[in-house]
Amino acid sequence: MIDLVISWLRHAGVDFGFFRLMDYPTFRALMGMATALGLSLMLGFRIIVMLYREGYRDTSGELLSIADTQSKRGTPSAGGVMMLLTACTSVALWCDLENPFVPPLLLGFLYLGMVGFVDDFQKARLKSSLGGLGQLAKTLLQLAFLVPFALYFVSSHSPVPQTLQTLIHIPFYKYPLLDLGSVGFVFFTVFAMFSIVNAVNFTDGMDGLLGATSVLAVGVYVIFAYVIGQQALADRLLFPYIPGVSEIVVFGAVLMGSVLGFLWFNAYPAEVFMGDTGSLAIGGAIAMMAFFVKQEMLFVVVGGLFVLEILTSLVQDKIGYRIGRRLVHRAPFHHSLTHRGIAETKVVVRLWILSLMLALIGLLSLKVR
Amino acid sequence: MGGLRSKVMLGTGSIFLGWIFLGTPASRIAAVGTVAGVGFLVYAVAVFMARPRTRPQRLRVALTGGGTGGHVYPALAIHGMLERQEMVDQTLYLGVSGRAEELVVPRHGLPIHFVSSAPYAGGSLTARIKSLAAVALGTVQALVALARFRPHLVVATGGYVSAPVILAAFLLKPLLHLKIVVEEQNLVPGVLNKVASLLADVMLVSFRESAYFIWSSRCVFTGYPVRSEYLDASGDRREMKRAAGVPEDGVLVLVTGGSLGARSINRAVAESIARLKQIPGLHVVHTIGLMETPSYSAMADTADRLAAALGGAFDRASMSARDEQRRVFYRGCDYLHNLIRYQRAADLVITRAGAGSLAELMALGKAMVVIPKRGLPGDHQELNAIGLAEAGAAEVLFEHRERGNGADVVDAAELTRCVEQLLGNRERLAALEAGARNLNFAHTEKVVVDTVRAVLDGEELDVMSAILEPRFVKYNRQFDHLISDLDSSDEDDLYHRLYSSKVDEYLAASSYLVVNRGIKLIGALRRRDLYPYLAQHFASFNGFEKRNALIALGKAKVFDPVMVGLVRRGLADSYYEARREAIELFNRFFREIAAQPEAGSLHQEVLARLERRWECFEVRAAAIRAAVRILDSETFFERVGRFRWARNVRLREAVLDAVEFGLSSGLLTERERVRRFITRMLITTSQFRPGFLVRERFVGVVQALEKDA
Repeated sequence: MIDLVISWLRHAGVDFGFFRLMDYPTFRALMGMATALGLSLMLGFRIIVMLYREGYRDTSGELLSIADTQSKRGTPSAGGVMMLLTACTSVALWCDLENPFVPPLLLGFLYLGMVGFVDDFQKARLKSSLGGLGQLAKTLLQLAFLVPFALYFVSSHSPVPQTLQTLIHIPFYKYPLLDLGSVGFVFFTVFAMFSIVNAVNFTDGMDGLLGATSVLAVGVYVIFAYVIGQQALADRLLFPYIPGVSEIVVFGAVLMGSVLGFLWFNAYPAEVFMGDTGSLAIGGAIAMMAFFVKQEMLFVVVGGLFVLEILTSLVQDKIGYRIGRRLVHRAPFHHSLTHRGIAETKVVVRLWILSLMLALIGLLSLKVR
Repeated sequence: MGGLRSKVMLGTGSIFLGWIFLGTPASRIAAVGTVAGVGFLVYAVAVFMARPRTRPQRLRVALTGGGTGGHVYPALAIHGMLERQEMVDQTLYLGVSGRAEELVVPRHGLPIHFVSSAPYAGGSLTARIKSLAAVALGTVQALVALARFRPHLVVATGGYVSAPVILAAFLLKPLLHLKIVVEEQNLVPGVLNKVASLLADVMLVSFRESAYFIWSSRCVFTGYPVRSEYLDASGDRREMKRAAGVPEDGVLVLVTGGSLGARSINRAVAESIARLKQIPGLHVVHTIGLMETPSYSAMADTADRLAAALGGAFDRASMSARDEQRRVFYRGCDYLHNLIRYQRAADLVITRAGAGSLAELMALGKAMVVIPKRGLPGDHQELNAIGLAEAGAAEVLFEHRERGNGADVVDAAELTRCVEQLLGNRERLAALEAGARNLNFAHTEKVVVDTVRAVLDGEELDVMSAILEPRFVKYNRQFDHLISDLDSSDEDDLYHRLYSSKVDEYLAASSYLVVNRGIKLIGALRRRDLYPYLAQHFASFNGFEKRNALIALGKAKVFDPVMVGLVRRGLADSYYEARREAIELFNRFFREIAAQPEAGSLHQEVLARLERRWECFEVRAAAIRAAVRILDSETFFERVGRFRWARNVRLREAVLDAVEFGLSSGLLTERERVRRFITRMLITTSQFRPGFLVRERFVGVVQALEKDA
């Protein structure tokens, strides 16, 4: 929106030198991040109080008695609305909305956030964490976005160039690995995005865990978007150039700012949880960003923690439940660490370190090919 | 009138649009649009014409509900309440022919009209399709009947019989401006009533817990509506006995199993009558029931058993038995039309736990022995019974399933003992009667009438705000809650007895999830008789079952020799939780195990788990705790010493557990040695327990408030 204001001002004859800064995605990215962060800090607490009074409270822990002060019950949930709000405002201000990548990103982000919100709303209404949307309903609602998105991605309206659409690249390797063809790629997209969204959802289990790890994952993709969006850099580093992807730098940075602003309140002991609202929205954003820069398989490295969490959960639930024994100590993975007797705060920080290492390895794949 | 205005606009709008598109290729759509618009306008005019004038003082009331007496009588009861308030002008009952309402309603002098309907639940796919067709037909018939009768109020009591009528009433609502009231008698409503709650203006429930299951929030608790005859509990017992044709100075025990009868109760009574007849003055009136199926004929089967038990004293023709003084002490029949006379005269009633029967007996304030029918959806009869027993209003006997043939059986010896004890203890009987009277909700009529008036006048309803989660739902959801509650209960506790009757059924199930529940119950209920079962099936158990079997054994109060074998097998198992629990079981009974001949090799195996290189930390921690029980002090310090600075904090905790236990049980005596051992312990740990200051202060304030209250 600010670019519209500036072009209107220019039209009216007013021009300042630093208006040219708006042309640089990096400038807009930093300003967007700062705006999102600033908004979160300013409005955050009010939003938390509003959520608390509307009844969006966490009900998942067991309250042994009224005197059980260790329980996290009653913490305001659905804090993802804070992220949705600040991210959308910041994007509207600093992003070029005519860029073909931004509307799908925004739509997906908001839609998945809404799906998560319906889930949190049901839990609030029933005052129980066992309420909420059923598994089937949640899956269908997610697919209701993902399938059209996949079809859009391989169509002629897609923002990604036709030649690149169905190729799969893996990190550390110069050449595309294989071409799946349209139909195959649609299935792959739906499956992969669904997995990414739910992997991110599972990781939201401890105070501050998803906050920092998702910032790191998004950060890596921001850097990749920067590289892939500039012809010169992309050619030098042997990446396929995708025009217009630079705007994802701005979007990603705004997202980082929002999540950091949320993390301000979410760090241990948390004043607010993001609920499914936030985790689904972030998952959706990461998934879409991964696909827009055509670095889908990079998620296995960069989002390695998310993959680990969902793998342990799936293995324990689907296989272990079937054969009647535990296969990992506890699922998701962060609970296994707590089970060994490591305190929650330490687990969170250790997983941050793990994510950081994975993110750096991911960045390494920029150069090492 | 806003609704009317929008309808008119919509109608004219679509006619207009239709007219515009008339000459275009879309003329077919135009035609449809025009017709729809015209139809809509006609509808709007009809609604306008049918708008309510002021509601008359006396109303036309349509009643529906049936299939069994349990649905008919509450409808009649509510009707009676409205009649007493002089609110009823005309009545029409809508039911299904060939069911209870056909017999009962005309006897009450009300006109009855028949519609078609069929039960949906259960049955094959074709049966379900047929039932849906029947309901559809019934809805059309009901539409015609209701349009002709034009009621102001429709009262439904649920069941498949009321489905078409409720649907028809809902469709006619905007035209006739009628109100729909649905009454739910059971604790757990059926699917039909859950759906009906969305269509109705208010849902009346007989149990506060039912609100949990109802889909709509317009729920009012009224208690069970009993017929007016039951509301008068006064009167001299002797006169009532005379009116019922029973010896005045005798003790009347009434046994009822419902109109169809209850096989388990019938058979238990037949078995126990031989001993019960020795109670002085006993007179048993037994409604055996009308059931006549190839597998069970109530009258014939009971008659056979009575003849076998009583010999010559029993006369088959009259279904009665006389004692040596030629006094009748038992009378059986298939059905009693004037059951209420016997209910009023009875000193003790043995009955099923249906909501209706219990409500009637509570209104009369009778002492009851309740035998709930097992295996019903939601266990609702068992829960009704438990609710009564917990409030001191009845004694409960649970059925259990026989292992061989799967029949539900009541233990006759238990029944005999229960009846003898009650009849021999006047104070106990009086206490039960008082309890039943207390539990009776006395304001049913007032609440029903007030609610109906509020619904008719469109006023705010006093709906239930707090929705309780029924205890059985909580138990089903988190079975472990039940287990921990049962751990601390003793054998006479109600839930203890209830779940004891279910253990066999759980163990015989095909899904391991249900078998698991049975295993956990064996532990919580301390069923020693089933320990051999665990030993027998241990090899075929999966991981969770093995673990739970070992945990169950650990809850025993006394050592049992099968435990040794199971500890050994658990130790050798590939699943780490089974190994851990095996060691914990060993820890629990280590003294008794030490006295066994195999103790030596068992000790070696446990210690092997301590030393083994790749062992799960949970198992190793349990082995550390075992080590203090196995080894002498010096060897213990030597072998466990290295775990004082183990990386995993759980191992260090285990060392401290072991030392604590050693000190308290006298296994480690040299205090100075222990002190030196402990000093070199690594106590920086990464585990901590947070203190939330604001929360703690808040809780402090809340507790102070509650103390003063």
